[in-house]
Amino acid sequence: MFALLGIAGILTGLAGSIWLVIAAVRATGVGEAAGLRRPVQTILGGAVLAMLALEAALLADDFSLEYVANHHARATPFPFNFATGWAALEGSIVLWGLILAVYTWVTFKSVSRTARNEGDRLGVAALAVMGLVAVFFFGLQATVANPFQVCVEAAANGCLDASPFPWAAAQAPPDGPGPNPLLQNHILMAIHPPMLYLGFIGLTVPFAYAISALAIKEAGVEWLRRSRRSTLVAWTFLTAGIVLGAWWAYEVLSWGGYWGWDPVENASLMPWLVATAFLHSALVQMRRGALQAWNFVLVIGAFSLTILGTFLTRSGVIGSVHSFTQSAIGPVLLGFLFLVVAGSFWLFSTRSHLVADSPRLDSLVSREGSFLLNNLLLTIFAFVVLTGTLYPLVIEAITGDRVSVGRPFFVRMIVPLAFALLLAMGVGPQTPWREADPGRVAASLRVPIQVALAAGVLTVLFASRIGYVVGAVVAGTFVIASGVSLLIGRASRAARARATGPSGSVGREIRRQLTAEPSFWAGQLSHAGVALVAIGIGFTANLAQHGEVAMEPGDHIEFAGYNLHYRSPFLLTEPNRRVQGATIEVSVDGEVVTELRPRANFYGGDTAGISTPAVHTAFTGDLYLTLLNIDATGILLRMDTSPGIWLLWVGGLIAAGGGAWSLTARRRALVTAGV
Amino acid sequence: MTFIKWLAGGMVVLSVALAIVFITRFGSDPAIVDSPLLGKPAPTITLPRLDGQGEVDLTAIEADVVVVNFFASWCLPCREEQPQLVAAANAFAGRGVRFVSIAYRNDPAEIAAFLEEYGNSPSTLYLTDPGGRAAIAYGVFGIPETFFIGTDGAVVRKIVGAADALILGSTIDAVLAGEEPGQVVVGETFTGPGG
Amino acid sequence: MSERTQRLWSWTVSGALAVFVLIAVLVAPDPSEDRARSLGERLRCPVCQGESIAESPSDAARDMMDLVRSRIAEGSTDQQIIDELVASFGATVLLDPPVSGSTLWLWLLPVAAAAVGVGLVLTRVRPSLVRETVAAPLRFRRSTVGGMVVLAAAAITVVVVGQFRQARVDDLEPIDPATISNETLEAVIAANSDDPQILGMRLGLANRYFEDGDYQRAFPHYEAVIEGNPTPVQAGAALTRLGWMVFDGNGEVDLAIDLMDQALEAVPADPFALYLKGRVIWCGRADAATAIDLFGQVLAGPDLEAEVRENVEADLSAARAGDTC
Repeated sequence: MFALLGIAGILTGLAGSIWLVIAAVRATGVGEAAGLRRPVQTILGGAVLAMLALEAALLADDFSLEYVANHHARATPFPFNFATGWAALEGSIVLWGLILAVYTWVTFKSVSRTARNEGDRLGVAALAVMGLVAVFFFGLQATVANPFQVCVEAAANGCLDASPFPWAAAQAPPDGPGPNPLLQNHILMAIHPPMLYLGFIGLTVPFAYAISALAIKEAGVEWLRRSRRSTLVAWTFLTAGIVLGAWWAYEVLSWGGYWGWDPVENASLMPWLVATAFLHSALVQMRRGALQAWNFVLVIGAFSLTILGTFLTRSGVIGSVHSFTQSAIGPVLLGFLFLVVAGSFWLFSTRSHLVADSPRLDSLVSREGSFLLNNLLLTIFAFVVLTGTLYPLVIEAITGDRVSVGRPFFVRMIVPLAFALLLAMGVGPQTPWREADPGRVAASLRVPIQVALAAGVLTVLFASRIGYVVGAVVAGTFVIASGVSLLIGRASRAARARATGPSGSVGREIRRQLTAEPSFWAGQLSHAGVALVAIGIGFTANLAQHGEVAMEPGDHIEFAGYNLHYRSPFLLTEPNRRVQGATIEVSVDGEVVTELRPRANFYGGDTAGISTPAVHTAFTGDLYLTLLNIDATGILLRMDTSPGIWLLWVGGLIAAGGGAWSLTARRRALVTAGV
Repeated sequence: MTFIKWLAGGMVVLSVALAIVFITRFGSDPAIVDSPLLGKPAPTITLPRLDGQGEVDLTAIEADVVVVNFFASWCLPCREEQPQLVAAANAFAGRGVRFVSIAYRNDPAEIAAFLEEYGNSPSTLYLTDPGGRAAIAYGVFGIPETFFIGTDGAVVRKIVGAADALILGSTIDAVLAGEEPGQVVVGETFTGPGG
Repeated sequence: MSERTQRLWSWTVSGALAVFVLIAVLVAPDPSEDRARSLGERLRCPVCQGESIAESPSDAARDMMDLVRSRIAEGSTDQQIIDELVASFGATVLLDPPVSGSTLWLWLLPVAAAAVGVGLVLTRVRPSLVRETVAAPLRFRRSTVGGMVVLAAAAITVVVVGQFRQARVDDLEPIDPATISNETLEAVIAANSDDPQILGMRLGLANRYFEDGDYQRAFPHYEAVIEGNPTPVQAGAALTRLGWMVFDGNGEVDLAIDLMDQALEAVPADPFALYLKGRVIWCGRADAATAIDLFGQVLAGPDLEAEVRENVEADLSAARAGDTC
């Protein structure tokens, strides 16, 4: 039954997508959106039905579906059984389709509003593009990535063979192997993929508007303005998704790090970098009309990198801790990727005359100039990540040699870029548009520089004298101080202009500044978040301490200012796993601070456990304990510190928060502007 | 303006090239790597015998062909491979072929139980690998892996995954005949208990 | 204080702070570097996906870190340790690819891209003569053609260069049965002795031993064939040869004839069985008449190989002539 409903949903979505493309292409001449309501609703209805059918099948333990049989187990607790809906390849495409359908519907609402007044060729054509993307993703679900295949040959634990026809004679195995144990350890695993998808898929909207603008030959600022909200939404979710992914990796995987430069991690970082560049560069075009060609290239690049990322994750061409298993979906995704890249750039090249009269920049020393620098730095950053990720593949195809590209390469290339970016983040907002007087800019940076250097002095005196650490603190503080001093500076000047007296009014003036230009200050908040992340990375990468010790119950050890006392081992039996661990008492200066319980989880019949670390978070940093081994004789304990790592999570979420603030602000601005 | 056309053209060319690269990778397992030891002298390493009666220097074994197999009791394909290894060891005992089985990350008691249950050959040397040095020296990515050392002491063949008697035997024949070095992948390997 | 003095003072303070920080950083003692850890962070754990041996908690990684530490204690340089591990695992064990060989371009490409990017940016700002000069010869049509030429060249390059890559030896070559050695067959049979399908292989191996005259090795296999539920043809072949071996090896005539009769029951008028029976009777019982009769039946029967026909004819005429065998 679920198979039937699910396939009905997929086919409805596919039909709706095709309908949308046809209707939208037809309506592009006039720009009338009314006829697109039904197709968009059909897509949404189909996508919702498919998702609901899949989730219902999982929650009802319907093992006659091959997807459920191979990825779900009866013992899997809620919410992980729900999250299984997107944990494996086919389910993840269903989620993709649903989110795409929602974005299409939201885009339609905005297009129909505009179209009612004066016709909206741009918006209608954009919907056509979104329809094409939807055709692809629903097409995937209907063919190579069908989650509603019926199991026709059951094994004791899973399904051996499946048929795509929902009326096939189904055999339901009694139980399934369940999701990968790593995906059941932490609630973040349920949240991280949907967040990322909301980010990736959101980039479809500005891409659609860009292609639409090129296709109907209306390249101007309109496509940027119309897609701004979606870009911000996508960027916010993508930022949050990446930060949450790093946080999850840190909390769950026991290697003590948060970013492994794994190909699939890189695949999420690249679109983020290019989307960030696009977000900034678009401002230049909206304000001054310049950088038109850049914006097209950036948005096509961001979307293409999203598809590349999807391809790398699902095709199995690169080994990764993240990858789904290889399947026939690889070649299909590759074909789509090629179409997107080649097609978009070909279209762009044939319409290049549209951007030919893009105004030149008057000077590089200006806000535009710093945005251009930003574009350059972020693009090179993305290029470095792309090169590092794909290089082993390319070299192997050409010479047959096997090489690895890991952290040392990325770090060496990116650290100088990162410092340059932080510098630009601090200087840029203080630089006026058009042409700036370097002397005045320097004057406005005087105080931030001093504050930054003072922070550097404090670091040198109390924290560390390692160059990277001090540099990160100075650069990060510079960014934050620059933003704060800008705010205070403007507020106090405005207060003086109003001649209303002492500092109480500066506070009110600050509030007025924030509400008058919310998107600008939201951006500054995001910058501050990024600065905090940079400082956090500087600390954790350079000041972490490590140790390994064998302990028997009752042993004590001193580590990084903590006294660790191994009290006893423990054993727990949970419905889906067996847990063996150690209870360790942590004290500082004789006072017990906490009790940490690192453990090894044994799922199913596994004889080797998956270890989960125990983390104690403090202001100065985390204490991170992992069990390397536990048996009758004692434990082998690994100890790490992560100084200042909370800065990463807090900073990352602040950066995303800036994006969210910008979104709320825009609605108010739109409302007050009477639009 | 024409710069954009160059850029666009360049992007298309790049995507074609990358597409070709990706296509060559479809279907092959990114995890399998060719051993750099093929054609090179076998690593010199001395390991203790499982029965505790001394140590064995792998390069000092007197035989025309030495077959070095890495296994463990927790490795599921190794259970299927063991009878095949025993049969091959017995069959080739008279031909100057010596089998060496090295237990990778295994408790001696568990190894003994494994050999009890799945068979063992009187002519095979059973060794343990404390500290995993032999596994590192041989560049073992997972088990089971089997290396074939020829008369000149060079690693001539490598089999990745659980081999059967036919493949073992024909590989030994090839080594005895002095054929070219090569590597064959016949199955999946495990890296630790639980896969 | 005037604006200018204030500014000067402010910059002096900044300058002093900067100098302080810089000096503090530069004269800082080198942090007690864990050399093993730094080296470990550049080496990939072969059983993990991209983690370094310093970070990974897996056993294999810790064994390798152990090796690194002991080599450091023995006095090896970093490069020697790296070379040792590369000799075992291949270049793939290096997370920090060398700036040479296959990975030279890895390091050059981003730098080249940055240079190109900066160059482009500079040209976008100045409506310079340089740009005009470069742009002029590149007309639309030429660039399309140029683009297609580049496309074709790229495709050809990739294909041609691809031919030079090392052939992967993953594929199992089909094994020619004739080249399989006796030992290999013994091994396969021993490993699959429960499998009823293995009888065919046993028979084949036994026949090889029989033809080589190695009766001792052939015997147990023929026995196993007969006891293992053979097809009539298999039984016939085994019994015939068993019979001959019993006669030729042990001199037992009656048993041999009995076995051959059993073979003829399984496959009536089997020429080989008839022939060998004839020989046994002629040589063992000195009964030339019966032998001649049997030989005649063989020659009268279905086609024989030329060599076998020659032997039978030779024996027939010898028997007729009254020779002993």
